[in-house]
Amino acid sequence: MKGLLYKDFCNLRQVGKQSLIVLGVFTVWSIFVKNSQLFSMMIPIYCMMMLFTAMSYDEMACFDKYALTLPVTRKELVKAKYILLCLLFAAGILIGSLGGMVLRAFLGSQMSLPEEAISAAAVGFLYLLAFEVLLPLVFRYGAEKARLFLAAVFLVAFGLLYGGFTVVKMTGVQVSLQLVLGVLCTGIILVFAGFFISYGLSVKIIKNKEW
Amino acid sequence: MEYAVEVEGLTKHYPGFTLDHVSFAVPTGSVVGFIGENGAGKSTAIKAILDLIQVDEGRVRLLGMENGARFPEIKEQIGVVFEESYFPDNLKIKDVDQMMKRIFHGWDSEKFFSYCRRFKLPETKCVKTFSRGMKMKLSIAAALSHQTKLLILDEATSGLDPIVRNEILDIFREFIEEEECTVFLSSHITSDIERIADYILFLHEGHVLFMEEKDRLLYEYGVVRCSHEKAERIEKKQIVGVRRNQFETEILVRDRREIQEETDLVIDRASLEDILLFTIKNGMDEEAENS
Repeated sequence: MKGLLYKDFCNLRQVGKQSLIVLGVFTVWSIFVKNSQLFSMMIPIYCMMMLFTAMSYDEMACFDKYALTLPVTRKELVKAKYILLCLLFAAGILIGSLGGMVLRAFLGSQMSLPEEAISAAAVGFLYLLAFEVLLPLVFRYGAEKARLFLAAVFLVAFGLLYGGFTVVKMTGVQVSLQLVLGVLCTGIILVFAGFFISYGLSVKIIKNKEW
Repeated sequence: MEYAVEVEGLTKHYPGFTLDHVSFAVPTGSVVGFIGENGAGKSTAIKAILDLIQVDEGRVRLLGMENGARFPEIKEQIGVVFEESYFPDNLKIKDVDQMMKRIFHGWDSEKFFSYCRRFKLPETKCVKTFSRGMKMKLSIAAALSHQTKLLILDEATSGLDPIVRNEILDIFREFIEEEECTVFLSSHITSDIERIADYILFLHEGHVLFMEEKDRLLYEYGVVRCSHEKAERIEKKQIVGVRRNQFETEILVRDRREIQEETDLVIDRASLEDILLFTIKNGMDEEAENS
């Protein structure tokens, strides 16, 4: 499995320069709109999108078919991609948070630091949840076709979020810190449970797949 | 006799095609050439052996283990080369080495780089810049650089020029010098198989037509070229296939020595290509007659 991850990093090496440009664009954009949160929220999604890039390279080369002739099990093939997702998520959160903090120091913010951290974490976990929904689809239909599902998944996710806020507003529930933390904790539990459900589904899909 | 690959009653249904109860065994230490027309089921059989598809019926033993391709310890000893190179385009030779080192316990970097040098593969360039021949050489180098006991090749020499093919066949010959090493080679290029194989496995429309020792096959089969009248005198049981034109009849016969003794016909040795072409043509003629 280490070999599979090594191969993915070799593939992603190709988008290194492009990523630096993207990092620069988000920095300039954040400065232009005077919002450090833009940077800390966009970088994790950019990093996680690299999973699709890695899977597209595999798809183009039909690498999975070849990998299964090596001492690699179908389960390991799936596991490697979920580990890559976690690593990209962690990298995105780290770069996003650090960059966001630096930009905040220059630009200032109307929100307190804990508020910003909570909102960045919430968005980060929402991205992760979206990818948990998407990964089994990628294994089933391939990376290129699954890109089409990406917009739909995000639309549904943000729709639900917006709907939730509207319901809270309409019912006049007081948004306390406790409520926010409660929702966040529930969300995190959901993301963790979703991760294992998604992994199980992907393993099942790959076990039944023919090459 | 020990067998590296044992296949029994392998069946796989697809819409419009069935690999139908295919059985054969590949003796350890031999080279088995796997021939058949396009769509005969060679790749399907290889995929089934490698557990890349789910079979409807039958069993496969690889290096003595039932469903061996499901076990990493068996796959450690198998090298596979397909028609295409499946290494991602952005990898360089040293990346392939580093990746394989992390996948195979018995990966031999020194051996891998020595093959790459022998094949004159550029170490600093990405796979995407390689020619088709270079990509195939890279796949072969990777397939041979661990403790490989069984080499499975699916059309690995197709589309390569004769010089590269010759170079690759030499490598296979070196590989089988070790007694325990086995090669299972599927190819359309019958001349390659004729040069290297010990046994010929012939698959036609999803069925095994025969598995014979190559030397026996080439020694016994013959092609008779004679007039239409003389052709009538040949016993039906001897005839594998017939080709007729305006001037003469060509007949592939099973035992050219027996016919030689009984008749005054001129009989040439049959090549593997003759055997393949006559047999397939005969099948097509029979189908046409039945319909």
